[in-house]
Amino acid sequence: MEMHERLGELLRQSQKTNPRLKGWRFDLHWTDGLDIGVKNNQIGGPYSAPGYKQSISGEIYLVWEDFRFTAAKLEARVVEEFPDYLKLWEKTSYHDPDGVGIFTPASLPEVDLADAEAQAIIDRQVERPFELLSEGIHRLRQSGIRKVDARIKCFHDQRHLMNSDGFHLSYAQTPVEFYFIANDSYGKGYSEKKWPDAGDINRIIRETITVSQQLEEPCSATFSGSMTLILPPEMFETFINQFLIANLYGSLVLNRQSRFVLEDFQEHRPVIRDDLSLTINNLLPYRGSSYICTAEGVPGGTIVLIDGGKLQSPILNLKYAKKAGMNPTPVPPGGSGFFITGRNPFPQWEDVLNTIDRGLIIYSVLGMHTQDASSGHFSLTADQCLYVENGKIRGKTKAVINGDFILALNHRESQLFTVEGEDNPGFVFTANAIST
Amino acid sequence: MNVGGPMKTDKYNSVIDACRGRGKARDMYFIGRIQHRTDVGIHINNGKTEEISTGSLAGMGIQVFTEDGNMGFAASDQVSVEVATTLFDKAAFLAEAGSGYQSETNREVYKLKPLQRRVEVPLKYPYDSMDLAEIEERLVGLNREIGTMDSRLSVRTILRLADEEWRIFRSDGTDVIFNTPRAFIYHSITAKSGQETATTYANISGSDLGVLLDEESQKRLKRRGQKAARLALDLLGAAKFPGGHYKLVIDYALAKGLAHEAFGHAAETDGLDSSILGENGRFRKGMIVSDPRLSIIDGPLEGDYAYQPISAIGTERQTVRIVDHGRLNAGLADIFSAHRAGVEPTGAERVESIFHLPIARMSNIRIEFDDPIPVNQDFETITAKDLYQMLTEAGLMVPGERVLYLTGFQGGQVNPAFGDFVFNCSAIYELSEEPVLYKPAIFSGKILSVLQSVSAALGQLQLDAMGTCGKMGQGVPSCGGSHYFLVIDENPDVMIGGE
Repeated sequence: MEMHERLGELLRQSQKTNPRLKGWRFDLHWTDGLDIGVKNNQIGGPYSAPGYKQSISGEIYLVWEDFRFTAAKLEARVVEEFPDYLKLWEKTSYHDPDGVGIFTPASLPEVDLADAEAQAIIDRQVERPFELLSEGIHRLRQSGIRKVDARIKCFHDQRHLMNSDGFHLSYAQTPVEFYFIANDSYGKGYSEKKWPDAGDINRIIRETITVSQQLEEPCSATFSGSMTLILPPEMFETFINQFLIANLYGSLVLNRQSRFVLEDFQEHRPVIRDDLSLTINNLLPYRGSSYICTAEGVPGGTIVLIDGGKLQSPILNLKYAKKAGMNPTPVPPGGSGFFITGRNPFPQWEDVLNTIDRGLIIYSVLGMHTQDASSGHFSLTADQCLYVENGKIRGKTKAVINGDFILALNHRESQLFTVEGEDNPGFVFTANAIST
Repeated sequence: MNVGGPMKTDKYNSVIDACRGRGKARDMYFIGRIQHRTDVGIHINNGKTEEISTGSLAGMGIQVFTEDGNMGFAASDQVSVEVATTLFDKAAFLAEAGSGYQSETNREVYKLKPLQRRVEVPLKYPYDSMDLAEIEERLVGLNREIGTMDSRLSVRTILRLADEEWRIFRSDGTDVIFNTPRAFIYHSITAKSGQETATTYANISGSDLGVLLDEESQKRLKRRGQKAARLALDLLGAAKFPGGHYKLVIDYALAKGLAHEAFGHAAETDGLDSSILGENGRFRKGMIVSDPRLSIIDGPLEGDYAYQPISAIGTERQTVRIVDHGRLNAGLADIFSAHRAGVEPTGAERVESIFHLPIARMSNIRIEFDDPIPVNQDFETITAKDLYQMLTEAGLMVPGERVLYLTGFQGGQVNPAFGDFVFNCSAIYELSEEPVLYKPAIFSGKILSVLQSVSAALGQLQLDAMGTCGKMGQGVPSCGGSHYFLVIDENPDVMIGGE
């Protein structure tokens, strides 16, 4: 009997012998895989040595009588030492009148998350991540990049969800991530649940080369005051995560720790421009952010959080769905799996670039995690930027930038643009910038 | 915890023997790490328990070195002779596989001298010294105390306790055991009025339940929480300050940020190849970086949130004077990069968990300034108005002079390769008889010039500014501080972001 089955059986038996235990669910991950790094143009070494890692992890949730609940992490010894753990779990249970019981989904979506190629690499083709890194180092160095850092991870994750109502879901997924960073200035990465094809690898390496070469050309521009800022898609996603998504979590909304309150969602208050929408989608095959259901059992899916600029739903787990009187939603894992869409198609980046008189393309900011998400205000150092003048990229500069991102998402003058191969658009808006 | 009694990782002798046997059979050097950790987190939200969560981990990681210095690594959250043997072979296989791709070699570990030590931090308030229900009740009380100050406030309070122990062993006979217990209470306080919000923080950290039980800690946390709550309320409607270069006063938590982001990271020798404090990969020892009264020191302090007496490779962690009276003096050096950097290893290796490889890290980093202006007041009770009085009385500013006081550390970041650092504050005051409050803005600058502008310090050392450092994706506890306040003269390379 496998560990998840034994744990399920132990919990079933406990429920029979301990009438205080009313229900349970767990989400167990059995993970193993490879992790190999590159530092200063060389694979391996003391800080990025090729590594193999295996772990048993996850979470368990127990429902006791009188609205008492247990939330605990699972680990490898939990079956062997089950009586001790059960005692600890009961001892560390807490009273929560708003707590929720066990949820079983009516149906589950189907989504491809396991790639045989990635699995084969972990099992027997260990040379392939080495080869991918070697190819990247070679091509980046050949293009004149002085310093290459990189990392690749390829894992197999066997996930088992069970609950006291008889729900049992087991499935495999194969998360694969890699990135290259050139000259400490610019990096580009891949995060999916399949081994990358040649096109993916080529795109990542090519873009790393192009941007890092542009960042090698200094530019002596000085500026202070209002300025056009251009966020490439990955930077736009970072801003969206920090200042918009972070304010949509139900726990913050209902506890008055978000920019928004529940009434804003109930009344569908407009918060961004009316031609823009924000959607979560966890069902795209092999995407890093895709999954079948959350640890609580809420199915992955597609949900519109902001429709035509108006708030529709917070991101709700079971507890906050109950408190809000709304349906639980899928969640964007690790701040990914969301999509900004427009009523009309966005123009191509090349066409937008031609229209910019004076602006900064921002590839990196320092200090994003220090920003007050609820306020919408940002004050950051943009340490890797390209200065644009008369529609042409002039060279690298640095700036301190300040503004209100939510306000910018409301401005008619702000523009969005499409970049090939990217899920989300880039963003052009006006804020304050001082050259440094 | 019974100091001197058996420790949790004592029981793994057979695992260590198995690794040694494997190392001998395969003629390979190795460093093994066993980690044993239990933790509990209590999360209170607006006077109600949101969650109590528990977790535990017992696992091991093995770093294997071939004779020519190729390395492989394997880790698991299980500890047994069988697992150890499998991990050893996996790590050895990867070390050999890497050699086919010109992987970086490093034989510095062969220079290490064996060490046998046990370091057990005695806990005045062990984790079981209070019933969980009582802990929860006290935390709810602390949370409500802040939340009921004003109806516009909402407060999240988190208590986290981690009971962690490490056993590190090497093929050269090294076998060390040490514990790194830690605890904190953290308030996140949001003030909200209409569409305006402002969030501030207050915390207290240590190694045990003293953060909740010790009277002095409680008094301090209460003052900090109330001060942060008032600040959050005052920030509603506060204006933005114009960006630019100004004379500044920063509090000790921001000074910790300055030491950590601006100097500590750049002085870590594993990144010296591209650090602004390195030249051709060598540490720029002797370079003058500040006023001769200023020193930057990093080292473990017992009872501190970031305490770690032994490194992640089983060597003793040293206290390092990175800057000694204005001169760059020593790097935070791990064994693998110290020689190349031209400095001595200082036992700076730390890891987040057994799944990670050691890298050079800070522990408690502080800025010390000779002859600070004495302050006869607790830090928590000092207002911006008090500070103005202190500065004018000490001749550090004159009435009418534009001086900004930055308070409350909100985290920071650095790019040592380019010498840029930033950190953020909770709020800015323009100092005067009636100080004016402004919204927070990023404080950014160049590593090599900011320290030159530190011209004075006020108050005693306060070294409990806690945080989590996320270098290379590994989160480890960090701490530090300085005197209550540091004065930084206007400098074209130091900027306050703003309107």
